[in-house]
Amino acid sequence: MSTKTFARDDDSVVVVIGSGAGGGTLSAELTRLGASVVCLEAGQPAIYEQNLPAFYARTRWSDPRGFDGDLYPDLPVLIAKAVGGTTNFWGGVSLRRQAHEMRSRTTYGALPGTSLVDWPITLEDLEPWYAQAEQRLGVSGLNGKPDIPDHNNSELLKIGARRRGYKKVSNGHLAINTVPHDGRPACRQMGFCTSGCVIGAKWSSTHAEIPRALATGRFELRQQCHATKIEHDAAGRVTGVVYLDAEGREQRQRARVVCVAANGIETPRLLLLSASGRFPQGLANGADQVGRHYMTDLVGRLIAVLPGEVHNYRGSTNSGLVADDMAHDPARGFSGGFLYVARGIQVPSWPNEIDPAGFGTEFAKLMEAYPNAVSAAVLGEDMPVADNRITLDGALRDAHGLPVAHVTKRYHANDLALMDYALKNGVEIFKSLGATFTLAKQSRTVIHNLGTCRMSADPADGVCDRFGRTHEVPNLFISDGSQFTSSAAAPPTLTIVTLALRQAAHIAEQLRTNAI
Amino acid sequence: MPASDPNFSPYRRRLLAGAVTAGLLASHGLPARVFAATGAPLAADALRAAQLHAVCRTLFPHAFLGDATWLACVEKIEARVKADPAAAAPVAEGLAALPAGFANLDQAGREAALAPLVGSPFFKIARQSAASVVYYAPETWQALHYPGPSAPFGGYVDRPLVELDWLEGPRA
Repeated sequence: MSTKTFARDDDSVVVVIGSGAGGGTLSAELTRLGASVVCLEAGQPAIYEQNLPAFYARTRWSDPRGFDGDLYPDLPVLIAKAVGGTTNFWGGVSLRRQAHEMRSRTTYGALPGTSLVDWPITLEDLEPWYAQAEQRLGVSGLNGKPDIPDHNNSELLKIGARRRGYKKVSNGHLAINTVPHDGRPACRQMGFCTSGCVIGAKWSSTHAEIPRALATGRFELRQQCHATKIEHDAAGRVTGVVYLDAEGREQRQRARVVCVAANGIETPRLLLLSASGRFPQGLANGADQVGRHYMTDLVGRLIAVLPGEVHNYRGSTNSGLVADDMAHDPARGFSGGFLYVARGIQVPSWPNEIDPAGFGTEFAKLMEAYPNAVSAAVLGEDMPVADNRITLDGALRDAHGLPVAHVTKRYHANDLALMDYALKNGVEIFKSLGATFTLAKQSRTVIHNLGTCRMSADPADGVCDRFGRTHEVPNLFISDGSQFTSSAAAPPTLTIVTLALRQAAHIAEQLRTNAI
Repeated sequence: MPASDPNFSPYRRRLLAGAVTAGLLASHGLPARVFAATGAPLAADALRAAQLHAVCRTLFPHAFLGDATWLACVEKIEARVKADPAAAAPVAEGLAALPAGFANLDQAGREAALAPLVGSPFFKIARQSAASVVYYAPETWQALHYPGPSAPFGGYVDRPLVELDWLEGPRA
């Protein structure tokens, strides 16, 4: 491992804030292209353990959050504070966005109450970068990589879906090695993908990108370093980042370029905390767009008890895909699309998956039906709404005395119509297998945080341009899911990696030509 | 898994002490369960342990679980109270809100008595603590045909992953 260190007054470095899907990939690619990178990571290395509740308790971002709206009050948002960020948690589902999802305003029209705009880039712009990302992540079922093998939970979703007439039924595409790839081993079908793959068969920034960046000798990872403010000069260019180190001491790293990849909640929070005389509403927030248009994707849970044993915990947690409904088809009564993906559940998580307030004789009977339980998730596109947003909380403070993020999310009528349709039809998939009990509900603890510093062609509509560079500050970039102009039926990680690869090439070229 | 050997648990000792007290009174011709329910003859901490014990087994009444698991649940709640002083008042208030004789009600009666407390801080603490014992207990994993962590045996890749002989109807 590299022991490269940079001086804090070295103003030639790129500072990347966050080491997850966006920050880790960007760091690896920028350093490969010759740039020097200091990555500030608020968390410590994650300790992997096949015990999901314990792993989450230790690894999640545990600051309190202010909150308004429809999310689950006890845990509105689940993201990581750890080296590798939320790639430690993800299930690996790696699907491209669809062409219409880059032109959502044009495709869906002016849905009342939404703040839809088209992306300033098209699917064609992303395709070569998606291809690179899929190679890099070793995505199963592509580029000669075998599919993830069938297991009961995925096989049942597929059989049920075929019985109901679905056509786009497959094992899906996951960033999980089905053969050794990129120095990481093949998957052993252990389950527990979302509590950190203990053998590193699942792509994560932790296992793939951070080591790659370190190997270049041009990368320094500073763990337990919590960025608190991005500073700028009189010309309005960023000059460095103030952070608190592991001992709580304030430090300042100078920078030529700053890239923020702290997840869709902490990224806007940091820009808002960086308000100054020149940027009184927060950095890059002259158009009052930072934190707005907050999207979470729509996540639903489908569980059913079947006549025989399923053992849904075996095998890759999220393999098994029904993709027919990803298309936009307004005849269904809503805009946008969704997918069904199998989802294994381990026993320690089982009681809260069924009902976090459940108890008593009937509940215990349901718990005892675990061996026969099949499980899947719905993932769908939610709509941007200007007043769904991240702000600084007026009262709550973190351990450093700084205002925490205040999360406001109220689901739009289109979101509720999509989820209702997806859950009703999902239940029918499991009923076709002889289900004796079914449960279908929207998850109100969200895991995807998108759109809060979105890309826009017009600086009045968003925070950053087609390369993630903020409209107002020429050497400040947004490098995570915050830059998404709209959500999608596909989960966000592959697109975050794709945008990071594309952004790295752009920044490297700008550095080389002294444009920034 | 139980947090510690219940044979050496202070709560077990207190419960036993309570039972002994109640037993002595029973020898005077009065049923021990009545005294456990009214609490009058029990030490305050023994009553508290008995109530928490009843709350935990009401929450997740699995027949395959024995007393050791319920005692571990009670210990878990008390450990939480000890570690987090803010939990003390909600637990005391929750227990005070239970009807007299709660521990002596049948399961249906105890469920009805607990129902108004769903969502309260007490309920959350009790349920979270009990779930973190019950759904990690070896007896539970055995009853649910669940092996737990798969890394120790190398995952399922070399084992049959599709076993659906029971499934009727078309598959294609």
